[in-house]
Amino acid sequence: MIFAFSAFLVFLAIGTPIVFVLGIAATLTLLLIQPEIPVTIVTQRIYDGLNSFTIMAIPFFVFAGAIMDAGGISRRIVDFASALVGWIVGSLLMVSVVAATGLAAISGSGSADVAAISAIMQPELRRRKYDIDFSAAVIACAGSLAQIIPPSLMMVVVALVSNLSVGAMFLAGVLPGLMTVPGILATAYIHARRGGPQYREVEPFSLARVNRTFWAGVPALGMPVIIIGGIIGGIFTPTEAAAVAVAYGLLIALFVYRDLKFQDITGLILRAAALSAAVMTIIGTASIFGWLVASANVPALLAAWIKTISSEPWTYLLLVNVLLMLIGMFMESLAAILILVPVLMPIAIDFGINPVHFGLVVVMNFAIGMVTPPYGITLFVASSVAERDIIQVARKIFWPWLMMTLILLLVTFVPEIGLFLPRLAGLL
Amino acid sequence: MTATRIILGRIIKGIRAVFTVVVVVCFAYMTLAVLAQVFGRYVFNYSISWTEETAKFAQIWVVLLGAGITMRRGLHVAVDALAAMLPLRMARVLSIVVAAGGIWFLGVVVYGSLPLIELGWMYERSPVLLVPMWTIYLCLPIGAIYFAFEIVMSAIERWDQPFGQRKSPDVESAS
Repeated sequence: MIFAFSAFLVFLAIGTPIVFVLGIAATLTLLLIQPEIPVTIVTQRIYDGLNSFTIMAIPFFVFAGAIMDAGGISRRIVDFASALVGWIVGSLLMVSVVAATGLAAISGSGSADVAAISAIMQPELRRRKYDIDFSAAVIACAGSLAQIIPPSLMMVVVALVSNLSVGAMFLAGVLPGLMTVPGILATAYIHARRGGPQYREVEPFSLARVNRTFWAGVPALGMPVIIIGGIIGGIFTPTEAAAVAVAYGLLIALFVYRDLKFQDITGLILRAAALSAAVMTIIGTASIFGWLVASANVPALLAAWIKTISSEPWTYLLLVNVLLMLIGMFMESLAAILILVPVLMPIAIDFGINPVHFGLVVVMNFAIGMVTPPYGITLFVASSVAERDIIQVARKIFWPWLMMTLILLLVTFVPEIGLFLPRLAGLL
Repeated sequence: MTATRIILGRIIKGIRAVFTVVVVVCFAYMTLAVLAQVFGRYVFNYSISWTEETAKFAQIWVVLLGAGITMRRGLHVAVDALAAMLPLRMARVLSIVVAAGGIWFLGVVVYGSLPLIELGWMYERSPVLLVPMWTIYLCLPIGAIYFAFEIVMSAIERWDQPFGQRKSPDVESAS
């Protein structure tokens, strides 16, 4: 196992694509430590990892995200957000955060959310001379909420590997996600207050405009209703809900907003296929690793070791938070979930921690991992759309990051914040 | 020399076009199959038994054949901030090591797929439609070989800047 881990670090450090980092480390370990096992297991595990109807939610949510972006849905959300909060000091930052939150309820992918908001907001932020690095940092954080506010790809994967209800996971994320928004807004507000006159240039509030942009946005806002309502009401499985979201997105983009043309669809499919293949090949190779970890009896060994440190659930949760924060800095989140959750979840259940609560803590950690350098995917997307160096943006991440971390700690130690809604819906 | 280059260029273009078409068709099929399943259940009150199975097969094809397309678009995530700081000569050496590592792993995948295909050839059939499973397993070696091909192509194209951010608008990831 130690060998697997060092091979893993070496390949990671030299810039190997993560799909191969996982594959190579697992295969080498298998060949050296358990040479009696036929190497076919590698191919078999990749196949089994992909032969799942549940993970099909991933390509569909990615496709829905691509449609949302090309079909003018993000634009409507930004307009509505602008009518709602554009009058506050730091207007553009407020709009960015609120719009990213709105998109989070439509998209299950933090980087798609960040890419969409950055593409719309960055030209304006630049023109009005906002601090680009800080703006990119704030957008990266708000966009990461897409993994906490349902739908969420991470939650689908957590539910998949621990046999939890996707609906329960989704509902558990609603309150923690929404609670983070005021925190991020506050950091943006303080930043704007301290900044120059450009932050005080705001648009007047008009109820008529709120009304108009709201109705323009209604078709787009129907998307979360279908997805969340459909899953919780037991009408669709998560995968079916994601497919219906694709169909619904296509319908409004083609016929209601008319920002999308029929001939654009193949390009969008190809884009969605390439983006989902990036994640799903990682899922494939991560399942080799997962198998290796399980067959080396790591969960039991780790559980025994952790029990020697403490028998209190809260110390375990704290330990997990620290561990996942560190791993989230370096690791692709879905791969990390696939490898770590099967190890950590049984221990959590052993400690009497509610599995949905634990899953939520894991997801929130990795959502934060998406904005922490050196490897943070939303940070990366936000800075490259802003055409800024990732290091410069990372320097401004501290305050919004701190807000996310405080909410994480709150949710960690007050389980009811997460569990209230799933309980209310009768899913727990 | 130029003539072979042109022919080679056409062959590469042709290969890529084939993979692109197959991936788009499989992805579209996957979406339509799942939608048909939902419509069948609620509109016609009839559960279609084979949509889930065929959609899963389409998904496997999309991912395995799409992996090479993802490579070509530079969308396979890597932590290459460290490698990007190296002098060009060392970065080139590392890029060969990285490519070789990837190709070695894909070789293992191809080698490991042979027993599966043999099994599928002899008797394994899919549970619902009884499709001979070798037709599905075949995407494992085909996808892996195409992936390896795109690794080589990308290493050649990125010879002068093996790591770090590329000036390309495609900076997304699915998560």
